Order: sequence, then structure tokens, then C-alpha cells
Amino acid sequence: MSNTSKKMRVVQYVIFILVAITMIAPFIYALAISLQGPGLAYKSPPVLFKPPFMWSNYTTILTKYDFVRYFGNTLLITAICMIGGVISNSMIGFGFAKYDSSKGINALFNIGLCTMYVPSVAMMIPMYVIWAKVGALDTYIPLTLAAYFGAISWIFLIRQNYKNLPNSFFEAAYIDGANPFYIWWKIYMPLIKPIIATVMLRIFMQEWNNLQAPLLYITTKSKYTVSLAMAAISGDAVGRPEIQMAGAVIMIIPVIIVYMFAQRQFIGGLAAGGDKG
Amino acid sequence: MLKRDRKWGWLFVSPYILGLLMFFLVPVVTSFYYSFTEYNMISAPKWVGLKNYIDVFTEPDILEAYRNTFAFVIAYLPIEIFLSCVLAVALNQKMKSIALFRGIYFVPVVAPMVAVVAIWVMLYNPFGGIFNQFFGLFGMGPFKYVFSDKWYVIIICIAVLCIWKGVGSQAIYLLAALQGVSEDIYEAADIDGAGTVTRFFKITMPMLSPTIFYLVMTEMIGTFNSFEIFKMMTQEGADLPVIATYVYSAAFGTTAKIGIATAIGWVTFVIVGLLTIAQKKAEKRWVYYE
Repeated sequence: MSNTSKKMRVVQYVIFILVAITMIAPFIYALAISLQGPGLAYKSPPVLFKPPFMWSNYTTILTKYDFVRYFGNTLLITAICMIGGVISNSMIGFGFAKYDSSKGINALFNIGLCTMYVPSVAMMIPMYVIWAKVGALDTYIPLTLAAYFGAISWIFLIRQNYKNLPNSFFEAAYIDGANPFYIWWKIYMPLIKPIIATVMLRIFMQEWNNLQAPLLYITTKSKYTVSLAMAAISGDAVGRPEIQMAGAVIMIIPVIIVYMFAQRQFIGGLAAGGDKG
Repeated sequence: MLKRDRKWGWLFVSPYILGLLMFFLVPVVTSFYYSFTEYNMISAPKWVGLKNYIDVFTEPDILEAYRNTFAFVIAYLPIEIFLSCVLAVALNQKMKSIALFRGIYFVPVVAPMVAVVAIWVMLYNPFGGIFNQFFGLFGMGPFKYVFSDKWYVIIICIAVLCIWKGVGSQAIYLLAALQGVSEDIYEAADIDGAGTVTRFFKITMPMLSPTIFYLVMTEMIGTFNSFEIFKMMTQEGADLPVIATYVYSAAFGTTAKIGIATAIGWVTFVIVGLLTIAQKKAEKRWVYYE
């Protein structure tokens, strides 16, 4: 390696590390604040990671601010959405992929793609009025039911993957007398496990981080999700940034753990979605 | 090829048909009707003709929300796309540690927006927040950031947050596209004596243009929809109404104004539609397809 290209490498590493610090620093800062006693957050110069560490901030947020309950609520909603999302998107995607000789089914798919252009701002209020009319406000129904009817972006991704699988499995099994439902569930679906995992993970993220829907529909405090509780806490814990940061840290940790174990699925899914255009 | 029974096909997609009816068609039709009425969810809707639409284009508060939304797109999108291109090019090499860096750059992308805003509001704190302490070392500030009374300052501060959060995700898309670019082109450019900067603007950017186009489209629609960050920021005390938060507060204010909220939704739909068509037209001029 020549001298200049060695120098380039060093410069490159320095830049990479600086960017990495920029990306991580706010989280480290939040962790530091979350371990402080009260009244230290805006001290100059900053008092970061200095004992005594106030682990009690975490017990405060979990019990006094009821975050244990909100975690449970969020997990429940997330699980219901993940189950619904995996089954419905896989089933619908299979229909669109393997019955594309039907003009009607193809047209339906194209209509579905067009709905992506309708901004959610336009759907938010009419949807709320409908849920209010059927008396489903302050329940988890508005947050979960739609997951059982497919979402076009996941359908698109899954359809693409089924399309890449040969039709011959279908035909062979069909001649042997298997019904199409069995063929989908037992033959095709296991073959696209990686993309199903990606969809599951993305739904997990989406629901875990979701604020808009809980904010619209949930009013009773005991039904709050973590994100809703986090949004409300700046009012509840005024002047206690360390409590708020403890909340932020425990909200982020599950996401980071899932992300670390499933980095490939995440990034793979993103890149696969990029072929759309 | 074996003829498959279409009935089964329709059965497979039947949940989607139901979903489209319940979660798309019904709200679209009802909201179109509501947009011509005055409706507070208590008494019956009262027909007012085009009044709501006239209000959308004349009410100063609504125009301000539109201005803020557009200004945000302009402040945020070009810089984010440019930085993610640079990042993608930097990440596109055979180094062992690349996977580690790529993983780190993606952490803000997956972190929940609610938590991220809480953290950044602390960083931006006008009284002793880290940013002000830092600028204070150079005798600058103190600045008020998202708590400023100037709308463009708030927009820039929120844009910085969004770029920090989103750049890793866009870079991954672009990186995937870059890995499809053949080495030959760069070798040819080397022989012709093209420098790093020339290569970036004359080869890399054109080769990435289809992906850039896709990102611009989705990010733009996404910005019109982005609710959580602005709602959180407003809640923390930043005074910056945008379309999504305006619609929310119109519907959930002391008296619900469903008519005006749905009319804004439709106007926004038309704006996004027109922008999409304009971009598709422009695509022919600047997007390079192999």
C-alpha cells in the first residue's frame, strides 16, 4: 500500500469514528442523565457518569409512573399486530403473486399501490370518526384490527418474494390433490421465512414506536402504551429530566436489543423495499 | 402452465378487499362528504358547500401550517439526500469494520421518535443544555433552538434532528444501489484522469439517481404525513404548526372541526399528487436509467 492511500485510510477512519460518535452520543448522554440525582441535568460543566448512580430513577419510572403496565400494554398490542400482519400479508401476497393471470386480481393490486399516495393526514380524522361511531374509542380495536387485513407495503415485498419462487411446486402439489391453502401454508410460506421475519420485525418497530394511533384513540391512563406515556411524561414529571431520560432509555433498550440480534433482516428488508420505484 | 382456479385467488386476497373497503373506501367517501359540511361530532353535519375549502386557502393559521411544512421539506430533504450519498460512498468499500459502522449509523433510525425527541429537547435546552454549553465555550449564544420565536430557526433545529435520525436509513438504500454500479466505469474515469469530486458528481450521483428519485418521492410524502416529531415538539413547547398537527388540533380542539380537518386532508392529497406528477415529469430529465 502506498503512503498516500495509507493516509487516506486514516482520514477515512477518523471520519467514520466521528460520525459514529455523533450517532451514539445523544443516547449515551440520555443514559448519563438517567443515572443522576435531581437538579444536575443542566449543570455547567456537565456532571456525567459521576457516582452515586441513581438506579432508583428506573424503579421510580417503572413503578411510580406505572411503566411496567405500559410495557405490558404495548407488548400485547405489538403481539396482536405481528400475528395479524404475518398471516394476512403472507396470504394476500400469495394471492397476488400466484394468481396474477387473473385481470381482476391484478387490477386490485394496482389499486392497492395507488392508495399509497393518499397521505395519512387525510385518513386520520375520517378514520377516527368511524371508530367513534362504532363505539370503539378507548379500546385497542382501532390500534390492531387493520393489521389483519394486510398493508400494501408488506404485501408488495412478500408478493415479490413469492414471485421469485417457481410455480412448479404449486402445480406438482396441486396434481397430488393438495388444496391451494395447504400449498401456501406448508410449501411456499416456509420458503420465504427470511422476508417474513423482516416483516415481523418492521411491524414490531412500527407498533413499539407508534404514537399517532394511541394518541388518537386511547384516553384512559391505564390503557396507555409506552410511547403515549413517554409523550405525557414531560407534563407529569416536570423538572425531573432524569426520570424522563430513564423512561427514554428503557423505551429504547428493547428496540436496540431486537435490532442487534436481527440487523441483517432489518437492513435487508429496507434494501429490498428500495426496488419499488 | 396449469390453469389455477381463480376462486382460490380471490379467496387469498379477500381480506385485502375487506380492508380496502373498511379502512380506505369508507373513510375516503365519508371524509369527502364531511369536507363540505360543518360537523362537530355531536350535532348532525350541516352542508356549507365550499366554505371549508375557501378557508383552507384564506385562513392565516392554515397557510402558516402549509408554509412551515414546505419550508421543512426544503430545509431537510436536499441536505439529507446529499449527506446520505456521501455516507453511502464512504461505506462502499471492502473494510472489515464497515459492518460495525453501518450498524452504528442505523441506531438512530430504529430508536423510537418519542424517546429521541425527549433527548434532543434536553440537548437543545436554552438554559444549560449541552449545545449552549458547547457554543458558550466560544463565546456564542445562548440560542433558543426549538424554543425560538422565529419559525425558521425551529425548522432548522428540527431538520437537524431528522437528518441525524434518517441519514443512516437513506444511506443503506443508496449503498445497495452503489453495490450494483460496475467497477469498469470508475476505471475508465481513472484513465481519463477524473478526480474524486468529479467522479462523485459525474458518475456516482447519476448512477444513484433512480434510487435518489425514489427516496425524494417517499420522503416528501412522508414529510407531509410526519406527525409524531412535530406533535412531540409542540408538546415540549416549540411553536411550529404543520399540516399534520393542525389537522389534529382542529379535530381535537375544544369544538371538533371535522369539516375543516377533512378539507385540509383533501387539499394536501391534491398537493402531494401534483408534486408526484411534477417529479415524474422531471424524472425523465435527470434520472439516468441504464
